[in-house]
Amino acid sequence: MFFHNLKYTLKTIFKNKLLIFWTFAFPIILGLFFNMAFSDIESDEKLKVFDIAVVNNENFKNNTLYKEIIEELSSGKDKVFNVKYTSLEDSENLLKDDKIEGYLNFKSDTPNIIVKKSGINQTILKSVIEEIEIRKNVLNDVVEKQVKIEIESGNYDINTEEIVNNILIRIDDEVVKFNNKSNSNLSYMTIEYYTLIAMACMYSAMIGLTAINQSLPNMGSIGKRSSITPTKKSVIVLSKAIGSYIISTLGIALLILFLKFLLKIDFGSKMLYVVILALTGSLAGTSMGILISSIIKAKEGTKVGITIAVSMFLSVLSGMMGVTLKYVIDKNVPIVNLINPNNMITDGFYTLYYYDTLNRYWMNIASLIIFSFICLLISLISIRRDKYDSI
Amino acid sequence: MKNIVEVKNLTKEYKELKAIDNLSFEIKEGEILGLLGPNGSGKSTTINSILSLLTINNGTIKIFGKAMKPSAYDIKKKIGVVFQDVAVFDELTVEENIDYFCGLYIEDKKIRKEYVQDAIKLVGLENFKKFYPKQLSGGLLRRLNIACGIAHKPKLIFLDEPTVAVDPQSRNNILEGIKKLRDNGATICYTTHYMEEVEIICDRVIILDKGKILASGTLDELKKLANIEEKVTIEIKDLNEKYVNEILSFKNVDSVVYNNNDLIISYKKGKDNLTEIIEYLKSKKLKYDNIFSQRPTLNDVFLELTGKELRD
Amino acid sequence: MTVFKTILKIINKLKGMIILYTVMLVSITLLNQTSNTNVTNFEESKPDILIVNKDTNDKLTNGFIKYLKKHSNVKKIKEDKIDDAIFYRDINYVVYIPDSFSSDILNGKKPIIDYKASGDYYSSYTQMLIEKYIKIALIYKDYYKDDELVNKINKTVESNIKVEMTTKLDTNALNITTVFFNFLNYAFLAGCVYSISMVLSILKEKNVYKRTIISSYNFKKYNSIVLLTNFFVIFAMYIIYMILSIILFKKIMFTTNGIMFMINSFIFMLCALSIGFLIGNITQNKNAIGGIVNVVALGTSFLCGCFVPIEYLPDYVINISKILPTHYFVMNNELIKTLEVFDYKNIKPLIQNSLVLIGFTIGFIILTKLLSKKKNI
Repeated sequence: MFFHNLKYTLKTIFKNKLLIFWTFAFPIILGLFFNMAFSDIESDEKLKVFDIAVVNNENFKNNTLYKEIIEELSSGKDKVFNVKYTSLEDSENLLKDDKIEGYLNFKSDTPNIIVKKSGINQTILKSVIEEIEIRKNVLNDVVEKQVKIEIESGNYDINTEEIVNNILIRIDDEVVKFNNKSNSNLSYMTIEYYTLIAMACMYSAMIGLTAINQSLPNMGSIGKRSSITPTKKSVIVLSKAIGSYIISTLGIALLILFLKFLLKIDFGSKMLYVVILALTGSLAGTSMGILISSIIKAKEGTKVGITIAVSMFLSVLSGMMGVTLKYVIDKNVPIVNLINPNNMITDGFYTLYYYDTLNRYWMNIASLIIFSFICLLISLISIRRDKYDSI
Repeated sequence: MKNIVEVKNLTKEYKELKAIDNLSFEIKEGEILGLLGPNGSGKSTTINSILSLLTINNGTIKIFGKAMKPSAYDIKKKIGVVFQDVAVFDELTVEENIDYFCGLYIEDKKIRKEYVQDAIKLVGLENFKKFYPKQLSGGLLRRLNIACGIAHKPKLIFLDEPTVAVDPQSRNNILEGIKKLRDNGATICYTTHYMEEVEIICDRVIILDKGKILASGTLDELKKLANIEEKVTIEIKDLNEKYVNEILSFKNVDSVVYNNNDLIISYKKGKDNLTEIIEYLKSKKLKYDNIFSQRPTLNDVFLELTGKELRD
Repeated sequence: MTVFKTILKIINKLKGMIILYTVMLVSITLLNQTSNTNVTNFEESKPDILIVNKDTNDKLTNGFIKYLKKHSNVKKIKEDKIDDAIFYRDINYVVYIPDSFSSDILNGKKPIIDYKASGDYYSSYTQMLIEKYIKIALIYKDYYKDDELVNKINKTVESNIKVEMTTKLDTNALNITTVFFNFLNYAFLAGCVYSISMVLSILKEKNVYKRTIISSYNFKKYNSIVLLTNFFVIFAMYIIYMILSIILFKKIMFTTNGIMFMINSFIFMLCALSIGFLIGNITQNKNAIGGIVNVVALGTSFLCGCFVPIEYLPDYVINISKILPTHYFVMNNELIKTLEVFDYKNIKPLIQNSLVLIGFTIGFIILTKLLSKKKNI
């Protein structure tokens, strides 16, 4: 009896094109869009070599220090920018047409920087040029001091050129040692994909909802017909619930496989935990659907509408429309995200991806299980009734 | 004959409204009982109460001699119900739908397979086995709805207005099918507001109005209640009132109505009435277009009992 | 009037959707609104950083911290939230100043700086800032002492170079305005097109449509009233969005750029209307409309740079998006954003894009006509 019901639950849901579209196809389509739109954002976030121009006037040609350093900064593996040496007019035009970020114009020993707007590349250009200026100042200071020291120590045969060279070598030698302690996985765009999985889990509430609706006599004629049969209500409801859980898990599995193998989304290295999270996540979604189906008396369309609205709202809170929102809530009102199953799913994937420890992950799982449990408990109380005041 | 269903003092209230008011009746083995009444008279509520779907305010219900309750699975096993609304899965084919609902009663796959085919044959859907409900016409859909309710060969069948919005062909097919079920040994409770159907198939009728029984009995018993035995209708133009009064004074005539060029004469007793009136018309040299005689209908009974038409 | 009223009644039932997308439009815009000051002078971009100082109150360390504070926004984050903050780019860089920081420098030992970074250009820039300071300190410590040393370092490290800015545009405000107008694509397609398609699908539902055709109402007149009413609805939404834009960006909307934004959205609104008609004619299944509209609205918004700035999109995506009308709408917004001189040479690409948009609109109308002819009962 159980399997008979299960078989037909699977059959009816798989043939429900609309349901399958929203729970299976839509997240995958959205994932594809994400991939197309987001794939370059993070590489654009990295420091890139940018283009500048230098006005090739007499002042510049005579400024050996700047000439050498700019040459050095624009060549080799570690170059900061590409340089064009042009006339003032050409530089102005290049800047106007957004071909360069800015140009240098030497009116005296120190250049003026001309840019179109404020921005990070402009800031870096400024910083780099200032470093040259600093170098110049350091050199002047130190040479002066060194000469003083030499004179004080009775050495009057001063080789300024040698002093300058020594100091230049020192400046290049003084490399600061940095030790990176950040976690290695820093791609925050992956969170978008995690919110997508969370959304798909919530959408699978629609499956649970549709299935349970078929077994409740006060929700429709099919439910009425089911409840006058000798098959126990518990058997019918259970088989519907398990059937919808199987299908939603299948949908989530498909989505994760699609993300992992076709879009190459990083899920961290702990695949077993990813599976556990997916199973728990789709359980939470299905439970929510069962809850909506069993406590709200409305047309199926209305219930689906409610499910979509709730899912979307929870998705937005957990960062689907911009991960910043999730972070802001996590930071300021963590309780909101703690009871948001959608966020717990997103956060679980995030924890697996970003952190080495699992404490937070298990808290996410626990929160999801509690959420599912509460949903199912309320549903159970509501479904247990077998007679109704009105149908 | 055994009583299959016994309903005693059944009362059901929806807030202010008393949908069923102290109703008592029984359904006897092997009969087709018609529950007749206008929309809102409490027919569906009665069936839902009998089936333990609704909480009831008062009364007892026994089916097959045992008290009915939601967990009385042994009773439910022997009941088949066809509800007013079509309750089938859009995603399943005709055959799959019947198999699904039958499967909620019968676990043995072999028997079930046989039963499903029998049900398809009974409602005449042999050519539509692989069709989806959306591809079926209204009549065929109703037939599928019936097949889903009775495929498990129940002993007791409730049919709640199964022929609403059905074309005459499908209706005949459905009514024939119901008779066949009865002939195969099932007891049937049939609700409808179509008197014609009741007259065609029911052995016994209960007329309901406002949650109360107005009358019950066999068709003949009920028709006696109407106080008339024959009704003669004559299409005749511009009849003088003088003649109407003369006809009214005839022996056996209960009432005469002349309206829209139709003269309707109701007789208390039915013998030689037609000859008598034809001769009268001849003698007065009155010309008429059409003349026919009718037995009283259940509508006449209903009219007699409530003073209103059954249809609405 | 009957038809007009009926359509308004149907729209009234759908107002939830329109309100939803309008709220989204405004909130996304507000979220993007970082600072509203008029920036016409060059401003350094400042990274957000966190300083964890383990060194005791030393002059050198204090000087270093003062320097960092000047060039970045120093934030306060709890220890256990640091990793989250780095990940979500709340801070770009965490610098851990070791307890031996100043003594190491003074003793000529190169200090080892632990850090956490988000890996973006802000973090690279922060590292440049730190490196610069320590380098100077390591050299100067041989020649100066105590207060003099710190003063000298801080003075040298601030060697300033003048930056001239050529544009007189309020780029900041223009950027946010562009975000708003680009997002209009989503609001128009998801909210308005959904409503229009729903209205059409309801009117075109087989039985209603049959009844309309056999009624004594002049059919041509009926069709044009339907068209006009839908135009009226989307135009009303357009007006509301424009009023919103004026409220949000007072400074921009009354400039030539602002007016051009409005004209551009008006042309796009017509295109959205034709898309709504097309979808409403393709299917009468209300649930299917939800799916189609969602995919169309989200798809165009993602691919054409409404959600993600177009400069972040890979080239192949931009090339694909050229087959979508939204692309030309967004391109125009991006062009308007940078327009300073309104001569023919500068406006020409705007006109070209607008013509393409109008072409799309006509194309959709023709397609709708062809489809509805085929489907006529």
